[in-house]
Amino acid sequence: MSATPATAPPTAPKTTIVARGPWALAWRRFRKDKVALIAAAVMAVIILVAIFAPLINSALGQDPNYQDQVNGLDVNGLPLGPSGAHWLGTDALGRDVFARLVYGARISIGIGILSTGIAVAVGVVLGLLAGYFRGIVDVIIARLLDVVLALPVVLAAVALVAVFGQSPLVTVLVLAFFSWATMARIVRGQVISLREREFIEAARSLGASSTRIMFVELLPNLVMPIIIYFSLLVPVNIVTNAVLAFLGLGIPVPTADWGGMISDAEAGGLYQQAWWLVFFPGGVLVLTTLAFNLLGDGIRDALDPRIERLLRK
Amino acid sequence: MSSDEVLLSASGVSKRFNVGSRGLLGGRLQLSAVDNVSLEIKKGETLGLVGESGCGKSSLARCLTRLYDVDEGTITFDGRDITNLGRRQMQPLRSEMQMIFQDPYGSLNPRRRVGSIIGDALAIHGNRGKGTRRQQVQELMEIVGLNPEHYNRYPADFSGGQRQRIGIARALALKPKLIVCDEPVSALDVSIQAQVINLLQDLQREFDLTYLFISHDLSVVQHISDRIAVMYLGRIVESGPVEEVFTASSHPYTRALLSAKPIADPRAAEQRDRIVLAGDLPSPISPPSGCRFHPRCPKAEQDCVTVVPTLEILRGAGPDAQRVECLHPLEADQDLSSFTPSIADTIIGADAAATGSREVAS
Repeated sequence: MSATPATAPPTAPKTTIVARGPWALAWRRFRKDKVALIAAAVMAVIILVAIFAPLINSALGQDPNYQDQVNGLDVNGLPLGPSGAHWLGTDALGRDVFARLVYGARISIGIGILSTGIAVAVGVVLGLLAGYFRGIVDVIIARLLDVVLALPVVLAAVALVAVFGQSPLVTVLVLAFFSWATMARIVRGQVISLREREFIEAARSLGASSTRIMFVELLPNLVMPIIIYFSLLVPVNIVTNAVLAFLGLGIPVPTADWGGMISDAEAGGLYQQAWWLVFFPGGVLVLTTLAFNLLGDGIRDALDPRIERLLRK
Repeated sequence: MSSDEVLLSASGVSKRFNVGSRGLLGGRLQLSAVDNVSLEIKKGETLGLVGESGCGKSSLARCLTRLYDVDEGTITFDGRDITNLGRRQMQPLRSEMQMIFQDPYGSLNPRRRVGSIIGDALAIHGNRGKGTRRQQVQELMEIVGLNPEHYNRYPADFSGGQRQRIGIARALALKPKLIVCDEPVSALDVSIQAQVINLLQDLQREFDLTYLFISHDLSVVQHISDRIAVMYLGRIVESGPVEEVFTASSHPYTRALLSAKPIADPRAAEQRDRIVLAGDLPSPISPPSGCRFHPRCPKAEQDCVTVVPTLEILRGAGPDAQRVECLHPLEADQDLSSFTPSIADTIIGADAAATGSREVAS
């Protein structure tokens, strides 16, 4: 101990101050949110399953649309329960439920994301136009918005599908049609307050066109509400798609779809004999929706800590 | 430094805003922000525009740069009438007149990188100089005293003074003839103010810039300006070369304003007479009749209530003349604090009531 020179200064731990951008800060907050991390992991698994659906099924030797009338049904022609051959049992036509669930993930999530993407794009553009130009443009878009928001979604969706026929494209467009309005309303509100900021006036004094102001100046300031709304809207559209399928207005048969599978199970009260036909598609649907919602909440909290603080108080 | 050539002139410019909801008779209340203002800015000079907060300085600046449409009057820039030019016609002129804004936080888009903010003008008007846009922007950053390596940072990473330098670099990008500085230093610390003021002066020498310098800080204006114009409630009440206005001001308002200027020497500060104006700045929605300053003017007389004064030449000629808008201007040796208001409060009150509910049918 006495060997230590008395003059040696105490070595203070080196602290470096790192400048963190808003995204880095958001990521730090997100990392601490365990619920959101679990939800993200579940989402990742479901999305990977959807992407690699053909690989998974060929590895297991199952075809989602193969009707095995001989080995897939029992002697009375009823579906088989979960077993080693069919992990989650078979349906009324002898098709493997697991294989159909795996393929159904593609349809459900694909339609959910695609319809939300279209809705957000339309909503953002119309919201920008309404908020930026105000006046007559705003009045027209606001009225349109009121009309769409006032429509009973399922009823109107049923009518639209009945008119345009059943196809994945129609389903996507119908879902998008009923979900752009809220996005437009959010964007419009943000733009109305943003357009009074001095940097917009600065852009105008530089001679920037309205298009440039909307897409170069305003849009980058809207990224966070857009991401938040996107992540919260996808599960809504997945469920609405399932509702349409349950009502027999979804993707045409025989394509596997979670809502359609529940609908099939309901036909003729089959679910009273074969619980697995409702339990598994329903369970996956609930799990996906829950994971997406929790993930959306986590993203919102991470991107906008003010809201988080308000909610916790 | 300055020639006699006029770069920008305004004559009889007025700007009114509709405020609030519609009134009882379907008419809208109007706020008269700028009222019948005439001024000239010569090439290469700095014209200081001073006045209290809310007196219409910024509105006037935005009218002159045509960010606002004017209701009356004409604006001539570089020999061209720009009063009624549309957005597209103004576009090429935008590169010749730029603005520096007051709020270094609000005037920079928080979600864009500094390089692209400064390069905006080049993106809009086309790349004019030598080299790529990035090279030009980095050169500008160097000119205004920023580290060019900070090209990819966000405004949040900079201090107030540095942000104001970003704003200056953006205004400078197209080498404009006129820069309107709208209170460019009032949001900054005093020590930073001096740096930015010096930078503006250096740039003026280097690039032959003309400034319209708006401020409520008289010391800053006195330091940087060649001529000044004093604004009160939307009107220019006195203008002239900075020395003459500061030493021989003739308008009671200018005199009162100058007496409020802080003096560093406490002994000198104790000795001078501080003129404290009675009352608040009247609402521009219902400005007082006659001379707009009369309710607060210690020297006001009966005719001030009814007669609207005009900006008259007091001494000198041309753009360098000292002008004053007052029916009873002060002599250089007269002391404003020796006057007691001759207009009774009751008259002022009655007058305010008569004009207070004025509505303009629209």
